[in-house]
Amino acid sequence: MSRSLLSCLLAGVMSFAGAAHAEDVVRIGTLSDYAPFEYRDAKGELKGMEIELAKTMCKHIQAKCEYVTMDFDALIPALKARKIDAVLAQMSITDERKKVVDFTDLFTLAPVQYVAKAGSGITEDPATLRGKTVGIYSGSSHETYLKKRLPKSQSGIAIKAYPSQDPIWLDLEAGRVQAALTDTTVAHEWLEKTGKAKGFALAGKPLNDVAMFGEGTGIAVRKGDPLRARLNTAIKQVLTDGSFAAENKKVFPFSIAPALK
Amino acid sequence: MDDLWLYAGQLLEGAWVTVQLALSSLLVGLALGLVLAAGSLSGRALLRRAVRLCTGLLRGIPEFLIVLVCYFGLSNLINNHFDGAVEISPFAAGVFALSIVFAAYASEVFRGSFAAIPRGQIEAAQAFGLTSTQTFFAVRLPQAWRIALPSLGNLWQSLLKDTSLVSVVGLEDLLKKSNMAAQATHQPFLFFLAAAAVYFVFLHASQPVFAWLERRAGRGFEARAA
Repeated sequence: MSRSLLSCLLAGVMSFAGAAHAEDVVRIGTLSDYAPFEYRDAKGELKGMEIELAKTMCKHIQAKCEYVTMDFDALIPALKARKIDAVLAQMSITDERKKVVDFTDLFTLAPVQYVAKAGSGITEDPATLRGKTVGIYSGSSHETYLKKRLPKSQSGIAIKAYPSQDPIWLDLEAGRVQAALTDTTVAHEWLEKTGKAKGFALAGKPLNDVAMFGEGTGIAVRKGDPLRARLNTAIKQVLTDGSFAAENKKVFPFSIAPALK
Repeated sequence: MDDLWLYAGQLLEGAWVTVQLALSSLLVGLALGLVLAAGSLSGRALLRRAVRLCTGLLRGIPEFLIVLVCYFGLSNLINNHFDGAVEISPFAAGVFALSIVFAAYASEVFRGSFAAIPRGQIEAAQAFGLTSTQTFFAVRLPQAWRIALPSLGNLWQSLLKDTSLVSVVGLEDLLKKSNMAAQATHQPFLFFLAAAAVYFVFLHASQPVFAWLERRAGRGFEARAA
């Protein structure tokens, strides 16, 4: 009796596992709190520019896509643990990440820039940030950049890492951090849409450090996964057929499309 | 405030996940805690030491890490060693992680409360011819339960709040849902305060339950004191 129950359970687990790894199902790992790229609306539905484009791309590669949301820090571990098959979450293509995952061709290209109080004198020049604290999203390439390029011992710049973007803005308003380092796309959302960012602005010029920020963002897949080639075709298609531009226009007045190779 | 009503459904969904997580972990944790307490009170030195080492480890590692290890580590371990593709759902991993930690703390509470029962009572039970199983269920457990309840109430409160750790592996509990709503509407204060209110209501609602359990467990003692 108990043995048959056990084998039933095992069979259940096996069949479930089998279904999860069927060829045409692609599980896309993403975020639920990164507007306007990916977020949940009041009904709990996943929305955003990247989600819309993912749906289009899944049609192109004739795959059934499932979306799994988690914290940014958990995405690469989940990819390696085969809990998801691809990461689409504004993930910058960096050398450090390339050691553990493969990336598709460029998907979006967003400049990285400081946000600070207007008139604070803060610019892209590290000297203007000496003695100040910069808020960054934990696990982001912005964090790696500050740690590697401007270690506190030399630059005098303290950093504070946050598990999501909103607390960074809260602390910027409260003065606990004097600047935030983020993608201009994310900054745009806060500066232009919340009505709370009065007196704050993009500071200086965008940072130019390809080795750190990568050339932009891409979709991450497991090393050697043939899914990469399929996604590359799909990316090319949305970039050329105008669907990328259409989604882009809905959320940003500037283009974040990468140049086609 | 309009946004709050708009997202109320989402918050309630998250609250439901929180309740499910907390109650499942409480049940599994209590049962496991009793087993661990039995182990750490065992007459066999080897078993006793092994169990105490385990509970010591579980209490000494941040719960956040235990959640990560359970979700990613366990399925990796199983998949690498048994060549399968076993899926551990975030909920199962979350309940497992929260309950082993709860069990480790509860086992210490139980150990203390079993030790607080006077040895003479057990001797008396033996003199009445009760078997050791009968002694356990009729003499030791009801009294240990009474002594353990206030501390278990404390553990329950921290368990309910620790459920928010599980969101790292993708479970959308109350705190994660309010974070999402805060992100989408750019009103973090509103939604974090709402989440705080819901946690408070849950804990406040659980107090009468514990009060009732304590009254029930203390029946004989109150009558004698009166």
